[in-house]
Amino acid sequence: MLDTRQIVGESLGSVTSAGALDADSVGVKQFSFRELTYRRFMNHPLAKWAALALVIIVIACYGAPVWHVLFPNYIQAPDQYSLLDAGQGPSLRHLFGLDNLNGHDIFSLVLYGGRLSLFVGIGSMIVAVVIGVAFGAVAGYLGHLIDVILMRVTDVFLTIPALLLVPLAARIFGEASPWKIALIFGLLSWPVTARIVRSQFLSLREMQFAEAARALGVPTRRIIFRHLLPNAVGPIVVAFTLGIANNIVLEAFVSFLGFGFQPPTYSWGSTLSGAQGAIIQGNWWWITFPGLAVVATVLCINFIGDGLRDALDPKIIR
Amino acid sequence: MLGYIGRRILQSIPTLILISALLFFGMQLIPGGPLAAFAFARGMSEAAKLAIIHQWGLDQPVQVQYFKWLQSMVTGTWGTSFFLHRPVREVILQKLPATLILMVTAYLLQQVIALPAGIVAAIRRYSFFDQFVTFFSYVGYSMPTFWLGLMLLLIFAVFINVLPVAGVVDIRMTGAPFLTADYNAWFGQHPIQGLLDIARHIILPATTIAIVGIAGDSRFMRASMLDAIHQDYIRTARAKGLSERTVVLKHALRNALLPVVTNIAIEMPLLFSGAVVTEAIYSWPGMGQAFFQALEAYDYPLLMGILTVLAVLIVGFNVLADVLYAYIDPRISYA
Repeated sequence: MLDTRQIVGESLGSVTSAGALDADSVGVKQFSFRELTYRRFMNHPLAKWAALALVIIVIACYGAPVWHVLFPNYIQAPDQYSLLDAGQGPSLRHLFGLDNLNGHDIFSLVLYGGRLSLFVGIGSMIVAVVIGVAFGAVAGYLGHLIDVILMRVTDVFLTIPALLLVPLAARIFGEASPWKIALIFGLLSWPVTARIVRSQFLSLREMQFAEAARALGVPTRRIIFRHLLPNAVGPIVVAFTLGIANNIVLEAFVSFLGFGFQPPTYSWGSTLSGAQGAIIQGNWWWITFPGLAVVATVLCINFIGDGLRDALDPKIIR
Repeated sequence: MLGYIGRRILQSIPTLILISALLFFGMQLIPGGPLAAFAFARGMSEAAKLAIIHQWGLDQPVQVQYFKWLQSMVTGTWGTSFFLHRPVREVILQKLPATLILMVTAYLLQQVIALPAGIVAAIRRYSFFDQFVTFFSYVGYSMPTFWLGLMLLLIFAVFINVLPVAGVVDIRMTGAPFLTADYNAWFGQHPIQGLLDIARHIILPATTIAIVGIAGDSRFMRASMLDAIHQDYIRTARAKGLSERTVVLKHALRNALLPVVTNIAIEMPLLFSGAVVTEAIYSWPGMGQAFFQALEAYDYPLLMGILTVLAVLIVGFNVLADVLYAYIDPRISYA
């Protein structure tokens, strides 16, 4: 991360020596880039609450095996179900009711399933950002023919909706494992990041500090990764965050259709995969609650992304 | 202008060829492939299998298959579906209308609500209405389309039971599935009844797509309108003493609509995704349903056909949006 205090401090220092301005003496506290970002983020009306809610969701989901041990009557492992009670509505014991098929406790499935959904969301975007940054940085910095070729490839992936490509890719990769699904989603969601990074690099490479680095004979790779990339971190972080939300939704749909995870491997999507048939029987809880889990999580992530966008934009000073 | 359009169309051809090539070669990587359908057909002799492989052309090198496919795309049949035993073009042309009807209806519904909402939200910034629109758009944007579809289905087709659960027409009434010869004959005799029937069926799927779309579009319209309202020429217009109505509708809105028009192109893939999802939920007999059925069956020619038509549509809309933008914004030159 950039250390703004250093840069700002030094330039202010030189001004101070001329006797014009002394930041400390006028009572303005100087913040590092990190502190500034943190303060701006906390100033966003909803982002901090969303972050808190997301932390709770993550702990609730990843702690599922622990809750199962602590409260065995309420939280059941995915391999436990009671056929006799199948289709029961929500009650104190089964907060979200039971499914029609096997009698799984929906609340437990939502907790256990969240682990996979979150893993796919985050894992896929790590893959996507690595590829997207490499593509975008090279295309944006080197330009010319390489730019044209790389961006054409990016266009291809942007044209066909990921919604159709993911099931296709899932077929190619064979049986779904969390790593495979995360990889597939990552391989199909990098173009957005690539576009963003490229547009950043197109302007960054013309900046004077980039020119200075070139004049000093700094190797191209070092210019890209050490000089320019830190300046593009803001938009990348935002794209990363919003991409997670997107991919959680996409995973839910793909698994719902049966092209991603399938029961007894539970994600939020595969939890829903049998629910369409239950609708006709008036079983509303099976479809409602896992979906609400997706909405709540994605809503939190979108708020956080929004907060980060404001916080990381150096042009907005608060 | 014509030169500009021609150039944009020519530029999109390499992209389309690249897309089709990547898809075609990608599909070859699916383990098992179309032959998986015969994995359990014990009674089938090796010779019969080989005959089918030969008939489908799968015994030829991949690049030969690709060029043959490309040729069929250019000259007419678009290949023959493995399992439906009909030319892909015929299958697609039968499925396309349903998807287009759904997309156009949803899109109109979406714009009719999103644009005014965004404009009013921008004019009355920070009002209750503005905050409501903002909140709605966040929630709508975070909602999986398929789940929204299922919830609407649950509420309006199961609990209240006022709207049909699935399909595009009521077969009990029409006597034949949508767009078959019998249906067309029936529709010719009962056009009003037929339209009403489609309208009843389209409400839920179109609303599903529109709600998610409104979420994004109203935000976009609001931002664009806010941008326009704070320009100097708006202050000038107000200073001249023009009525607020004229200022907003004539000066601000005209300019604020420019980015909204280009947004249409960016939205096409989204709109199509929405249609595909809702088709799966509401058994809407369109391209999305055909795609997932073809994928289940490994029907390569049909898959390729659907994806290619989709790509052409989306690339086409991109070109259209560029041209439209150049046409309505005098600052952009055709060079």
